[in-house]
Amino acid sequence: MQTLPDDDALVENARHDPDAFAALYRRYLTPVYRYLLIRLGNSQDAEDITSRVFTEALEGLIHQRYREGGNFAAWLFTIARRRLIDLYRQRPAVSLEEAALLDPDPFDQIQFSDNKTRLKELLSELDEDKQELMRLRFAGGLSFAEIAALDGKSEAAVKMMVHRTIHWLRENWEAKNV
Amino acid sequence: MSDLDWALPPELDAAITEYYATLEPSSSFAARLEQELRQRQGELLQHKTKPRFHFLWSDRREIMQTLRARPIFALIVVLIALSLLTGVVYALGRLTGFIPGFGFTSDIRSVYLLSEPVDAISGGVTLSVDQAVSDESKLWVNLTVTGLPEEQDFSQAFVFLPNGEKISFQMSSGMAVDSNGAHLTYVFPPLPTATSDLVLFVENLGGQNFSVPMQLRLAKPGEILPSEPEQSEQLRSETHDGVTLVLDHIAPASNKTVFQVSLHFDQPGMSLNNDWNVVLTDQNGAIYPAIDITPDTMDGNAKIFQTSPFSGNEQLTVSLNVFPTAKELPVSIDFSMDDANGFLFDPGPDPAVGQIWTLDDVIQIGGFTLRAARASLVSTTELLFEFEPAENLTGVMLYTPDPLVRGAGGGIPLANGGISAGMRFEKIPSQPFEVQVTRAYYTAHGSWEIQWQPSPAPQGAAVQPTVTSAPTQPPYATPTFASTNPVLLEVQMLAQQFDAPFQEGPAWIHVVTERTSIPRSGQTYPLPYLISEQWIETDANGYVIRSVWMDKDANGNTIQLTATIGDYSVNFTTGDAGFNNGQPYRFSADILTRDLERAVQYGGSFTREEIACDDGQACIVITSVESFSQPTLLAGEAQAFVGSGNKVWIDLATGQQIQFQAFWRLEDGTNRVESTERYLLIEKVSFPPQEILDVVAKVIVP
Repeated sequence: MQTLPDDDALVENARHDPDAFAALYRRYLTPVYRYLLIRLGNSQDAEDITSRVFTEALEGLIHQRYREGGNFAAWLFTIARRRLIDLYRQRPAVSLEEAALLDPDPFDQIQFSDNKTRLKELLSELDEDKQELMRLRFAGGLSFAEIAALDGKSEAAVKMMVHRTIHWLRENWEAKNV
Repeated sequence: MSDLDWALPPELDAAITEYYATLEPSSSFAARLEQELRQRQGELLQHKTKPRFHFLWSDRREIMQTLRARPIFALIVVLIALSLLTGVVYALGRLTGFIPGFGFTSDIRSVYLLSEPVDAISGGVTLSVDQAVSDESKLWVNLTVTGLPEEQDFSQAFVFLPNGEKISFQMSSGMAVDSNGAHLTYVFPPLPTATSDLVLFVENLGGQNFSVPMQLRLAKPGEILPSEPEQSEQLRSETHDGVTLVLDHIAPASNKTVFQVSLHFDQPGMSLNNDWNVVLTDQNGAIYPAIDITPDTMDGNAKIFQTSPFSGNEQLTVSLNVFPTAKELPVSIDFSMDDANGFLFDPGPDPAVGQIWTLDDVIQIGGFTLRAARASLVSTTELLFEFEPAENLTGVMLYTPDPLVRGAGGGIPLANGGISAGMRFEKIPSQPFEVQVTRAYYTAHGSWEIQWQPSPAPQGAAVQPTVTSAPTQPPYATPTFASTNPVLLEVQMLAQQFDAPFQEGPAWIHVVTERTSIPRSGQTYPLPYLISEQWIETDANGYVIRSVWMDKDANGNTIQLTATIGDYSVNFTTGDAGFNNGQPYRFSADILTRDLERAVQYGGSFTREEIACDDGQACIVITSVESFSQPTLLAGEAQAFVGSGNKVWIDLATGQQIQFQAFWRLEDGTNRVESTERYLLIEKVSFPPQEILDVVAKVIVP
């Protein structure tokens, strides 16, 4: 009984009920924030963009910009990506790809354990698409179906791509330890 | 897929989890944002409830409340609009001009437009480039996409120049879907001068990639609405607390006037933290609806409006309006690029929860003097800083470069008028660290008004503005759902019986409703008790031509006032104006039929019960309930909600739906009433009070 309803039920009520939107907000705040923090590298920008994402989502719901029966999580992360692009646009000297590489990783500020350092090094060897997939899956907590909706791919393709990435990490994990 | 091996070495598994899922947003940030969202939703719902028959005219409600005109996409519309222009003379020198959908361009003689629309088809998806505009500032490309398997919000786009250079888009609009397809706009950096051939590449639209050759040509006279010579030095408001309103561009046509207004700030990093509008009035107090036609891709500090053509005799005032108080603007300044904006805080070697530090640190920032008064450790990881009251300052956001920080957020006002702001750490640092103010929030006070003497509209159309009724248009056909459900048929029949005399005109219909509701935590609107009064004028065929809507509180104070003249709506309270895209409709007090149709169509449940109403008349009560797929347990609630529903009381003798109730269904089967609305009066009269006529007479439409 303590479980919250699915997104569709909340979304429908969220158009007119602040508590329903608050329930969606609480559900997605941490995933969106984590995703943005990993992309941006500092909590200040992450908070700023997180605020914009949820404000835009709220306005989008009320103004019927969210398609009924759509995938709310995918829509939310679409907004997050757009606002990231906006932010990168405000830093014209740095392209989107460069920004992703140049922005300081928040974890640079943390004393890493050996395992996390190994993982971080491994992740840096992945191409941007795979890194993004990992961020969406593990920081954003999106399901394969949600990532598929976000990226316009089939769920099976996303699942396979994540699996291949995980497989690659597993294959190289021990090697990195040597 | 099911046999995929997802097993990971435990330490890799743990590392992935920790790497991606260690950081949490600070609780102060989370709480503040939730509060802001609740407040924003209250404001939005307040706007949303202007023509607020909750279930009534549900299709029309969308139209009536569309307070932004749709962007105009096709070149043909440009040509039609401009075909009314005659005698346009291009002056020597640099001239700005307006292009529908695109906005104002800085030099109309160096603008390139798409030579002709181009299409590309791939995998059943058709991409049509409807328009492209290239000027000194950007390349703007407007697309229509049809055949998408499902709506999609995000795709990458590039243009390739003849020399092979690849240019990535800077920003895109959201997809706007209508019956013609999904519309999408991309903005690219400016092209090299005189670029006429390029290839647009759009990636991953419905799983398809598109490569579309485009040809551009110089815009011809008549394709761009020229602006008046720059007058912006004169056309600006006084500056108050760092904010100035500026009338940037004015493009008069025979049938309309387009103008751009922008907010200017006297410090970098300043922004207005609320939506804004302008109200356009003349020397007699008449209001000219200013329809917001700002393209989605424009900066939020500038807006483009469309209004009536002018005779040249008007003395206009453009006033900035921000809801709820036009003279108090919520503004913020970003100081994240400023180094000297902090103070050193020493928590000591062993801080304890509940510990309080008395501070006396002064920060001079952005013209404000901030004095930190104290800090307290509110949990093992959170510090709360308090600042003494500072004039107009409403909040600050803090930050520290200390590596242990995990989040910092804005704060809340204190009882003494001061402000607070929190910071969250992995653990409280044991060494002194710098506390920086990265953003300040303040209220700018003033009245931002521009006096504007418009030029006469160009010849070719009537330029004298008149108070008019809506032009006659084809009637709006209410969609009907064929059903043999006896309850639905009975409700339809009763509603038609009641509505029939009110759908005969000409007449004025006077409607008064009363609404009571139980506000939820954080809810600011609607008020717990509201009286709404409507005056609706209908023509000889019963179609609505003018209306006035007033919301009043329990003390009779007007909370909101909206007038609709034909297709134009003006909200006197918020300053919003809207164009309703003309669908004639008749008055109806039937709120229920559409809901029941939906319930029948989608398998919802409803019941019918015969009762005696309060006045002893025979009534029926129709109760419809929509069950949630899972129970919803919200914060602060003892029971979960398992559904929501409506109850409507209908007088069997008159057919009138007299009372409406919205409720939540709780898990124990009982209902919790959310709101109750009932008609106090519906009458048909020959004339409204003079004050109502005065309100509608104030609105001047083209």
